[in-house]
Amino acid sequence: MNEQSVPSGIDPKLLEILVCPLTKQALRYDREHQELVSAAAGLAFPIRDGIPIMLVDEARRLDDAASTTRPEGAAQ
Amino acid sequence: MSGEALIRHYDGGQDLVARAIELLRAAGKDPDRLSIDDLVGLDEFHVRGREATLSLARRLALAGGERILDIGSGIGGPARRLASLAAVEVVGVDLTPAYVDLANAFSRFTGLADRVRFEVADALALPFADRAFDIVWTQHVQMNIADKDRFFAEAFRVLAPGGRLALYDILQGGGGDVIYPTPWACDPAMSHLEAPPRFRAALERAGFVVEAWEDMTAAARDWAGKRYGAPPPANAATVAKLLGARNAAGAANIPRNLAEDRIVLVEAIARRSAAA
Repeated sequence: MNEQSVPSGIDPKLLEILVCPLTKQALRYDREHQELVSAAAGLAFPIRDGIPIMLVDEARRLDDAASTTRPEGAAQ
Repeated sequence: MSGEALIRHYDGGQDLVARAIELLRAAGKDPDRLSIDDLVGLDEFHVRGREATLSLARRLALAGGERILDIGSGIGGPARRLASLAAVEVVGVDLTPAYVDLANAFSRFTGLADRVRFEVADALALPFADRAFDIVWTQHVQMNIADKDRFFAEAFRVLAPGGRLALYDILQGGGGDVIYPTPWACDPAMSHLEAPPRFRAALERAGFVVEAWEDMTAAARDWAGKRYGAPPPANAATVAKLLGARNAAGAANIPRNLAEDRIVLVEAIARRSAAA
């Protein structure tokens, strides 16, 4: 155990419990880009210095046509 | 919601981790060997500080094993205190990235990072599944939130049936308009205080059953008298030094707002019924 060291990636326990704040659906962790991707909402939430920023205003909009984005992120 | 204005109000654009380390060293503490008691006076922003956290925690009588969410966790003092009282896991969310950064740093410095973690999120759109927590804890947060119904609805949603909301908050008193600035708002536009009956009605509208409701204003006045009556040692690490002049100006109005009954403090436990 090395609790004093600064974490490099996201805390795995956080990863387990986080969902998309809009759709409340599961997120995909994109390790390379350090983002948490909500396919349903068409948003990618940034992870900065290991801290997930789960704010819709701060999220990157996925312009990929393959994503199943709905208007207003209103899944369900 | 005006998230950016709120964040600017709270962080003042500072690097809080560097500032906190500097303050702790000046106070004769080693940031690499901290206990949570070394942070008393620094990491609990709310009225009555540690005493308030312990009082609300006593009402919960934690058994161990609870999953706790702290909504508006600031720099994490209360979350770490809860983790020191029982074998619980605490997740804290706050809108202000600089607070979350420092909250996580303090958890590492005190060896609690395996059970206490923080992230940036909005209380009105929580990034957690339904029924994910046994306890939702919140202190001095909803004063910045106009939409109480949505705030309580989100807290209710993430609680498991039978779970409890532990709340310690500032409400509108009967003594007239609040004197600004306050620690939570430079002016009335950022502040959304409700009188106790309306506040309690919003809690109940969300589906909560209020199990405990106690006015803590007298205790808050006592605390303010001691806190502002005798200044801390010159080298002490304090919230005022960490957050700077804006916070200090707001804090200076707390004794008068309390004394003139312009604000009141309430401690409450509300349950999501097991059938809900």
